[in-house]
Amino acid sequence: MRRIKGFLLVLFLALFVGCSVNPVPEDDPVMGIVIDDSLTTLREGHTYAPRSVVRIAWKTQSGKTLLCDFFLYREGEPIDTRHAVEGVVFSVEEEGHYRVELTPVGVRSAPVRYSFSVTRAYEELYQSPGGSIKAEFLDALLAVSTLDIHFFRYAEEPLPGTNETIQRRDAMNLKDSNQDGVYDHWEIIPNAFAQGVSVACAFNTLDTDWHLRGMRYEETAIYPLYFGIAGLYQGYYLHTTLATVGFEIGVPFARYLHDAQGSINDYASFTLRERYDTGLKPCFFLDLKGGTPSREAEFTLAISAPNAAEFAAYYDTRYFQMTVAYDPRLSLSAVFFPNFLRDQKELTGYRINAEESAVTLYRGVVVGEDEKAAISPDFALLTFRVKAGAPLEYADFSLVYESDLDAYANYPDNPNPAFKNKSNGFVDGLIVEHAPLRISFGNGGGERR
Amino acid sequence: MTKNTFVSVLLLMAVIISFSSILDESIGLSEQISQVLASEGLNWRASPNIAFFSPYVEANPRSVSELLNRINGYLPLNEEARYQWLSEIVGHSTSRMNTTNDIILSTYVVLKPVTQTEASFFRIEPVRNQQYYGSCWAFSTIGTFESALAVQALGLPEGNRDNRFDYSERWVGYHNNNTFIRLASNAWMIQDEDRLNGGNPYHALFNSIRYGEMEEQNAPYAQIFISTEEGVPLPTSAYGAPLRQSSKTALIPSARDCLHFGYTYADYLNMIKTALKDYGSLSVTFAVPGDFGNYASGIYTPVLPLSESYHAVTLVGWAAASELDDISLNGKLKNPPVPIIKNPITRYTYRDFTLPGVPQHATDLFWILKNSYGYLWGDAGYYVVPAINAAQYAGEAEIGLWMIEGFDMYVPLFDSDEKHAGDDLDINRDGLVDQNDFGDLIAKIGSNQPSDISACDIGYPKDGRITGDDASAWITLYNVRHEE
Repeated sequence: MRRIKGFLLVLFLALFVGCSVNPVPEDDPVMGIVIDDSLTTLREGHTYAPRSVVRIAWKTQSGKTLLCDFFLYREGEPIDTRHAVEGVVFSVEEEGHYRVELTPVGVRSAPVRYSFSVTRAYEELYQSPGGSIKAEFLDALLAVSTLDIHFFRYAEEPLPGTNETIQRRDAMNLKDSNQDGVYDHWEIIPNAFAQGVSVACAFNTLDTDWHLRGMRYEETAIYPLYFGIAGLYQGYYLHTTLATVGFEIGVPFARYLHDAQGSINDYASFTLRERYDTGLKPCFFLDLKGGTPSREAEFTLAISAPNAAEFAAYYDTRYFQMTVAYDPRLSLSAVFFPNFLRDQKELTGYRINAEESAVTLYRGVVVGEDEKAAISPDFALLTFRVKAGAPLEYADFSLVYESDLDAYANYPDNPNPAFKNKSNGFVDGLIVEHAPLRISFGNGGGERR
Repeated sequence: MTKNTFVSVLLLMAVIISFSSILDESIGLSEQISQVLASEGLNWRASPNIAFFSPYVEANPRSVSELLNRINGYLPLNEEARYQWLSEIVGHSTSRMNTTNDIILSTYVVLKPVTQTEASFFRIEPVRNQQYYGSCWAFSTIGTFESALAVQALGLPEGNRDNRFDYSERWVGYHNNNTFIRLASNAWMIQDEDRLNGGNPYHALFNSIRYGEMEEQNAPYAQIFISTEEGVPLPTSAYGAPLRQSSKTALIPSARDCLHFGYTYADYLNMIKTALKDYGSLSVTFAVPGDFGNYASGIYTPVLPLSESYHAVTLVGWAAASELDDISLNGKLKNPPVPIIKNPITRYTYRDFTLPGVPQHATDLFWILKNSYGYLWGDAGYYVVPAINAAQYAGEAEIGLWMIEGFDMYVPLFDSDEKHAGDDLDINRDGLVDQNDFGDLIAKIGSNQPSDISACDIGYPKDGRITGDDASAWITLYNVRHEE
């Protein structure tokens, strides 16, 4: 009986072990995971476009099936888990740093990890032409004497109780609220035909006869484009402003052109695109802190960049440099660098160029623990004081842009902004607002000129 | 100008407007040019270059100049008379697109001139053929990219001699930029446009940094070698193909600018030579004279006025006058190779027919250039021009726009960890590498003290200055050495 019990125990243990581990054949003594390259599109260190579909499959070293748990992380947070699978097809939707982790089920083996990135810049590699400006040139316009233009927006909304959407075309009517001749806001009417606005086709100014040749559509404006057909500026181009409102990035729009004679009846769709959506521009700009400043007290100017840190992280930005020029009747009394980047250790510094009344700001990211201070949307805070005896009513500030190498000699360092990644290569896409900021003392805050 | 030369030039102008086929015109042109060359005693040979012109006959250009205007597609940054704008749009707005000029400018560095003593230095690199597109700017960009990669990344002074690298000019054209948008924004914004005709290495080399270059096999120019289409789609092989990025771009300002910045004539020449020798062949530009298509060999100086076009080529070397009879550029086609000139000279005198008054100049230094018209043009695809002399550099004599010194020159830079093997991050020499060193480096930016420069000039290339480029290099090296 004892021998039977022993036999049953061994049999039980054998069954237990056999049922609880992966069906790896006994002729496969090494349990490592081998990625099946013929079925895998995921590549270590690769960059993908948003909405990419990625596939990964694996096997044992002898080519047999191997079940693994699959984990997908974005910025360190788990976003997808699959249990006991032979391969996975998954999509990556958003920008960021991703990590895939494969753990064999029931087999003692080191997990396999893949790191990759998703950026909208990668999408741009294969999307020429285009961008955040749509410019069109139509020779047919040179023959028309009148032109109306209508705008439409594509929209959709969920159809309740289904997984479908209702698609529609919204009319976008241009309105001129202050009657200054330039349209300044949209009136949007769902499922309607847009009102047309008239675009001047021909006129004379600057001793030149101009004729409409094309249009330019931007995020914040619409510009008709005129060609000089006779006179002083024959052969030149001239822009005018039709509207100071434009088109959101990433949203499909359409325009319809027609003339009274019926020689033009032209619809065209367009979508402005960038590496970020409208409202998420990774922009550095100057911003006055704390309301109207006084001549007698210190005041603080911020280089604010509420969306830049996240964008910079997507592109592994490790170095930031920019220069602020200020009124020479001010003295810069302090520079403070808040904790700008999440989970990153940052080193900072600055150099004042007293002769040019400019300060260059430097920020580097190095390995190590993040600072304990709360994350700030401000890249730097500059504290100024009006120099004694300076009769100052206002002061101008700007983030420096020097287009001429000649001007570089005025600075101890290259004056233009620079952003670099972990390979010390340049990061493209961060925006610096160079338009000067004017601050008035005693009667109002900052005003961008 | 002598009476004979004057008559010859008049005849030459008549020839240009009297022939019906470009081959006939080229034959007539070369005969007339040869007469001027003989009467002027100039040391270059003109040819109808039938093998070069023949493939274009079917495209039916009305004249040689029309053909050259098409294929010489460099768009000058500041002289685009054809696209003048009266714009009420002022740049510097946040309504931007892919890139703005502030970021592009930050990718350019100026090299420190180092005295170069060699009488001659040159590379024989692969000659490509741009065919019927105005894509010279893309070929010039790739020419310098391939050469610089070989010199800097592989340590091959001979550059891309054995066609080790072959990158895609078609890919460069795919990421050309929209001229109208750029000019309407006062050269502030650039937005990509798929276009081979007309471009500029200034922007193309920025794309070498932000996008990288693709190997020719993944986007072959051969597939589109003759076409009037613009916006040619990429082949499927291009999607996901590896891209090789440069780190930044070295800029040699034009002679006029270098003088203005305080560089001496020797500094300027040494800056060009240093770039050539230490970093690779250069992308250069010039305005095209009407006789350029008929060059066959020797020292090219124009005897016809400038055409309407600009051209970008690759500067591969220099030679002293005394060396020209010992250097052959055509060894791949001729056996035995034929030297640039037959008889030795120590100095060369010529007159510039593109300038009012046809002034005379003399020089003892010459540039060796690689064109992108294929091996059947010129001296096996190459040509030689005089360098500007000291008087021209000083502004005492004018520089003809056909001379490459009238424009900026470029070469990509390829940084790597290996190039910093000897760089010490312990800026303050306290035995520790820590954040204090970063702070100390920032504090020394702009310093002219040799000891400071010695401690802090760690960026690539070492430019003899302390700038943010050194600070970013410090950050990168710190992270590499602390195993980011």
